[in-house]
Amino acid sequence: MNTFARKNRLLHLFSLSAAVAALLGGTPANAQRNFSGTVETDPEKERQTFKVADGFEVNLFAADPILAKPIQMSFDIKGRLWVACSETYPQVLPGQKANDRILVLEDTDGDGKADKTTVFAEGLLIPTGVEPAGNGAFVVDSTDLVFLEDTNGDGKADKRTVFLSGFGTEDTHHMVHTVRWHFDGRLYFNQSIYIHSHLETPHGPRRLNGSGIWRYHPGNQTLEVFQRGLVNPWGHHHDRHGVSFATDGAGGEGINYVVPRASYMTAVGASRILPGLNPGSPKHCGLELVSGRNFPDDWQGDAITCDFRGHRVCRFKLTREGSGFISTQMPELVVTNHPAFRPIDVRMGMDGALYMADWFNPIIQHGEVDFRDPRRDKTHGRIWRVTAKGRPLAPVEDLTKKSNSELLAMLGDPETPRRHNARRVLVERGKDKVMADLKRFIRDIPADNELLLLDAVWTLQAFDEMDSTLVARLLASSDARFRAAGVRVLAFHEEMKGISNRQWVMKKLGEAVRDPDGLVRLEAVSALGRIGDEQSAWVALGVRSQPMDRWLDYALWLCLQETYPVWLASLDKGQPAGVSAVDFLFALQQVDSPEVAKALTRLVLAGDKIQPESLMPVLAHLTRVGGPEELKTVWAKVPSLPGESQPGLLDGLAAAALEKGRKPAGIEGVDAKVVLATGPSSKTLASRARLAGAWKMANAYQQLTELLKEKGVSDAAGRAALDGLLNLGDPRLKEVVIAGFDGEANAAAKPVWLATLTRLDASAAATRAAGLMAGKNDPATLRAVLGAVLGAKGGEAALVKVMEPGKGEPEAARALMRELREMGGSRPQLEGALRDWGKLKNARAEWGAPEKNALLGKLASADPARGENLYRGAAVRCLACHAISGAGGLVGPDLTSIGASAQPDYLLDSLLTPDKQIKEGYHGLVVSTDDGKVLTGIPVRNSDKELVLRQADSAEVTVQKARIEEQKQSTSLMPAGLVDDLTDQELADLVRFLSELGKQGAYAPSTTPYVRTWEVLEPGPAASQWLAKGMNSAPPAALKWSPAYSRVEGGLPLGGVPVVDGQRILRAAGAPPAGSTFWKTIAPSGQSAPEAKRVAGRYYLVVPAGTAEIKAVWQKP
Amino acid sequence: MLKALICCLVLLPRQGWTPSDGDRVVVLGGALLEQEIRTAHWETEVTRRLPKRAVVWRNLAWSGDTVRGEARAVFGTPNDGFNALVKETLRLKPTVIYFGYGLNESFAGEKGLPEFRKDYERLIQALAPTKARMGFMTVPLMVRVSSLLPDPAKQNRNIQAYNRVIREIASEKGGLLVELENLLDGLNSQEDSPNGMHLTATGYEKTAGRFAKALGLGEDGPWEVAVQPGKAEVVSGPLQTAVDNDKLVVSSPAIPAPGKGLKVRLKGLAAGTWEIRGPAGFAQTVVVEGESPVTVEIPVDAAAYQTVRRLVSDKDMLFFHRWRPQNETYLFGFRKHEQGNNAREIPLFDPLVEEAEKKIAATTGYSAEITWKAKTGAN
Repeated sequence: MNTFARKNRLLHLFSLSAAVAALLGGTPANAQRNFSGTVETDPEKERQTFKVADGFEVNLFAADPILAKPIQMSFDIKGRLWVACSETYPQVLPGQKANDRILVLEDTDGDGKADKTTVFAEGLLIPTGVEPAGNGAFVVDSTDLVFLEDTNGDGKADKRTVFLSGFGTEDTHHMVHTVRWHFDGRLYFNQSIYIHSHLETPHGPRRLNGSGIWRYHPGNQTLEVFQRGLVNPWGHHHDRHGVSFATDGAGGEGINYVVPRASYMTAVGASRILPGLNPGSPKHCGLELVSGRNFPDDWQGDAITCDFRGHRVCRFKLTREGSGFISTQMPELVVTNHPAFRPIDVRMGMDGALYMADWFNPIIQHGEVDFRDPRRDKTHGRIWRVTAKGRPLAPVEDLTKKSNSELLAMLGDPETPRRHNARRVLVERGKDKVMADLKRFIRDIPADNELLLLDAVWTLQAFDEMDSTLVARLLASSDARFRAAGVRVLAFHEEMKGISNRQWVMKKLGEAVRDPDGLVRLEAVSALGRIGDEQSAWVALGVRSQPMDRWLDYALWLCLQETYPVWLASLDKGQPAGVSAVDFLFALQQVDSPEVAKALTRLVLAGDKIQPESLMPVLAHLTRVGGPEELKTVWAKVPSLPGESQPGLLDGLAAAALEKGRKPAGIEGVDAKVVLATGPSSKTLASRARLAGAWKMANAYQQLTELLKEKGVSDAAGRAALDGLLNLGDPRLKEVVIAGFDGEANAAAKPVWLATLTRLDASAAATRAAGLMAGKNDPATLRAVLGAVLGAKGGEAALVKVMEPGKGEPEAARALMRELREMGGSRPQLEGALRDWGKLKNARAEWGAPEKNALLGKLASADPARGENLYRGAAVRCLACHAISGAGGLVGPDLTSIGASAQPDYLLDSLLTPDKQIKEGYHGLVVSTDDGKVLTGIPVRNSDKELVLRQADSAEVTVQKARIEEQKQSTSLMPAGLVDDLTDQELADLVRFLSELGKQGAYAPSTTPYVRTWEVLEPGPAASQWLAKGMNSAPPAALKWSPAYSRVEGGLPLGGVPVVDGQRILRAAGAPPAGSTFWKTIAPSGQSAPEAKRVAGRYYLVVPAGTAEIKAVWQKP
Repeated sequence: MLKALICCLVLLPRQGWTPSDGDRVVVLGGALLEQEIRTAHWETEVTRRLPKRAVVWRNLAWSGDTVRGEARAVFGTPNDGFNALVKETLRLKPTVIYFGYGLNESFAGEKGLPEFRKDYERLIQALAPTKARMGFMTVPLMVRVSSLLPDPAKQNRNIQAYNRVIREIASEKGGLLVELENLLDGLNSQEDSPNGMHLTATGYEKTAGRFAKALGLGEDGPWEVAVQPGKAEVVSGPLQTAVDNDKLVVSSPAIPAPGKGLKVRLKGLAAGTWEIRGPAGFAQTVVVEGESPVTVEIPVDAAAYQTVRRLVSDKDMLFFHRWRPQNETYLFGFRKHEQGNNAREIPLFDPLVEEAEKKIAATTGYSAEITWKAKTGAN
């Protein structure tokens, strides 16, 4: 078919979908915008828009109509490309026969273009993964992982075997994907955040809620979780030495270094998680680590992944640091402004070229878009091939025709897919036919060819075999990466024949935890956690003799969590042999289990077992895990501690009582005096007052009311007495609080009374709150009053009740609304009541299609630069919650590439009615606790015992699960009506700015590591004093620093930054990109860059008041 | 009074029944039953033997599920899984419930038995309002299908212990015991079972007869009719007949088993050579000597059975999309408010399931016309 004819046909298909849209009628009128007629569907024209890295070129390998909607690709042992495609996505229509396909594309004449297409399988329901094996392929068919076989050699699947079923389908773009054989001969596959899988294996059921990576052995059918968490882990590959990396299609931390079995963001039930390597990065899909002769040397091992929102294929350089890695973003491999280029998978081919699957659609087809939205393209898809110009390619061969020795020789090839597929053929030939040749081959591996040795060890592993002398050679390598790889093999030794001696394994791991290299130590600790026998933890603790880092800390903690069910049983025997007291104490403190409390208490009581400096953390841990007897020990120890250590411990005891109902044995009925009157009162009185209340001690009511009267709520001890009284639950308190409120002379202290009163009588509090707020517009008062009432159960409802419609002034209502927004969270009822009370209009929330379309019509002439100022400015303050490239608040999703993924109508809708569509991971929770508190935030961690919420100010708060009385999904934390005060033009500017984010142009994500998050010094006496002394000492703690964020292009406008004594003082904040240690300012043109001053190990910029803007870039040493 | 009656109904001995016309059957369990719908060998085998095939069969099995419904919890707590199991079962208003639980639970070994019994009883209690007859399947013992897989002996001891509890429950509750313990006997290759506990298409096919028998449907021998000129007698099979001197018309609302034929015994034909003709070009010459009867076996078209089986599977898949649709998060879950346009599609599967049932009913059935004619020597 000639190109012209095909193009016409494609255009016809597009207009057909437009016609369908018109027929459906219910589709929004604007659904066709940016779509029909404006999207160039000709592949060659699409190709011409690609900006390709220097030295590379892109050619079309295959395109519609031979394939549509590719999801995952993989090369087989004959060099053919298998592609899983789904036109049924996202949801089968009633009456529609799901007929998705697995295609096999072949380039038979070696010209780099597919010239033969075979439909291997059809009738599938949204196959999200494919990986060739044997005479067929493993395919994910919705709930099932099936093996589809061609038993008669006609190229089509004729047999289906379900290996696993019960994978969740709660969101079809989250279903099992990234199915890949790895170097160890195991099949790995990933599932995303909404998936809940319940799989039956002959070893028992295996379950995983939420995201994670599975590791599967189709032979003996063992199945284990290899990693937990990430939002959409849509990419997983390993480096040359077997270390895993993963990408995330919805989390914004770039490349993730996968520590085996570790948890990452969103992991269900995890109390501790690891971060990604590129925080503030856009989302990525697919992952391939570059290998082979076609790519230049400085690309080898680099990670290639797809920013499908930003139409980019990105490159990250991975370098080792400590026990982990640094990932540095490099200029893109391919980037375009073609709106339909959606790269979603990348694979090195057997020829050493890089193949990219292009889903091809102008919109992102997420579930919040109507499943039948005609903009969901069903007919297009491309596979692109990237080659380095003038560099050799590897031959594409049918590996099944090669002899064993030819295949074994291929284990030395530079292309990962060639080594990998050679190993596949050997494994599929079977042990009987291969093992003798493999052993001969191994015998002849030159001593200095460690890469070949490693691949030989992996080949044995794929056969479930292990040769301990080979592993010992790896462990003795002078290159730490081989030692680490050898240790990882030991982690799985029980899967392999050949190791009869567990003692040998433990001995080697004992050596490895003390290895001079961090990566080796990490692999050893991780291996011990997987082996998980009684000795594992004690051996792993040896790692503490060497320097630790973030990854090692985590790995050791994880190892202790994994092993403690085994070693807890032996705690009665006391400190294990060969483990130092310090290490033993450390181990006990890592475990959140009542059993460790007894062992710890024994050590505390033994007196000489714990160094004085270790005692405090041990006692603090006991307050968290101890029962009555252990708490009694803690309480008895308090008087012997230095005064400054006491408040923390006392507060811990109070928390144990309040949150877990645990009190020291024998404390019931003891007079409150015992707590209140002992100890150095000036430092600990507040904590003692709270504790007396928490323990509900005898006569506490009387003594605490006296203390309250004496100190008043302006004093910390007085406030603590009030807290303590609240915990007592005495009905007389209400009168005391009302009297206290009425008689309070200090206006700033009134909200303290109010907060307590709300807990006791919400409507009495609301009436008084209304009185306090009447006629006042100063933000501090309004915020304090609102905070006091809304922080307790029933407060919002009571406040709604007293806001009589029409009784307020618009100005006052607007001021209150502003404060509500500053507080974050969504309170539609209260906002509605406020509007009615202050006679405010909320016309835009009711906007229909005509109004919206009119506004969208202004976009072409709108000014994104003005929009960015609004984004940053006080009127809307988007920046307080939504970061761009990591700069800004964390409460809402990062918007780095929102414009490239979302259409303007979606953006406008999200501004007008934030509840309409909410990004996964950003659904708020409203939690009421049994002591009457109400907390709102985004759940960031959720373990069996604790829920951690990120509140509107980005601060995290931990709630004990046991204390949660009620928990409900809140709507969006983004308040409605945020843009009400903007003019239409301003709103258009803002939408235009958002719609530019991530598109190629002025608002594209930058690969330059600008300093984007700053802290700026606020004026005040302490600040002036510090400056007057020439900043010659470490900044005093009393200084106040506020956050400031750079613009998208990297500069920080200084207009809004406070001037302190004629200058501005700034410092870089936020985590520097990995490996960067300092930053350099860039001079505005024609000026010299402001000087950075080093004070106490940190750099400060002193900028003259006249400077309008600064810009700085992180640097590596 | 009413309550007491319901109680009695649940406890009434109900041994030895099979589903009958008008029954609405719900099947609960794990992956073995869940995957059955892909090929529908078992369901087809069962319904084939129910003369009018007027039974509604709904499979709610879910991989990894237990009597606690824990595979169905989705985003909720484990108890939400149990509630979902009960709610969906009640929605279908079953008159018969078959329980296929115990395999997943059995991996917990002896120590899990008390909890298993308690939770099984809780489930039965929660479904008592249906007043359905209940059948309790024992767990098939695992078989060794690959040397790479673990020796199932240890796990089979666990399964036997759980099966004892299941038998006790069936007896205590007066339910039907569906004995499947030896269902997989003799299967020893991955052609039949990928893992010794689940089945491939051929595995389901091979065990379909045993499954139907375990439900109480008995062996289904070949259909047979004894004919004398002017008179026909059904020896076995759900058949109607019409006969005259040289012709027999046999019809049935059911279909015969694949591979088995219709036996026709002709008695009273005069000695000589006769030509017997039947459907699909069947023709056979028989020689009658004396008064001895002759028997011809008329082959049955296997394609008819396979057609029905595919229709049954299609119906099951339609129902699967109805009760366990993809994208639940956006249809009914916590993101339904975002666009919410597609939940309305799901009930649209109901009429499609109904239609599929009708299609099965219309396709099921058998009729054949058999004629005999003297060739030589007879008169």
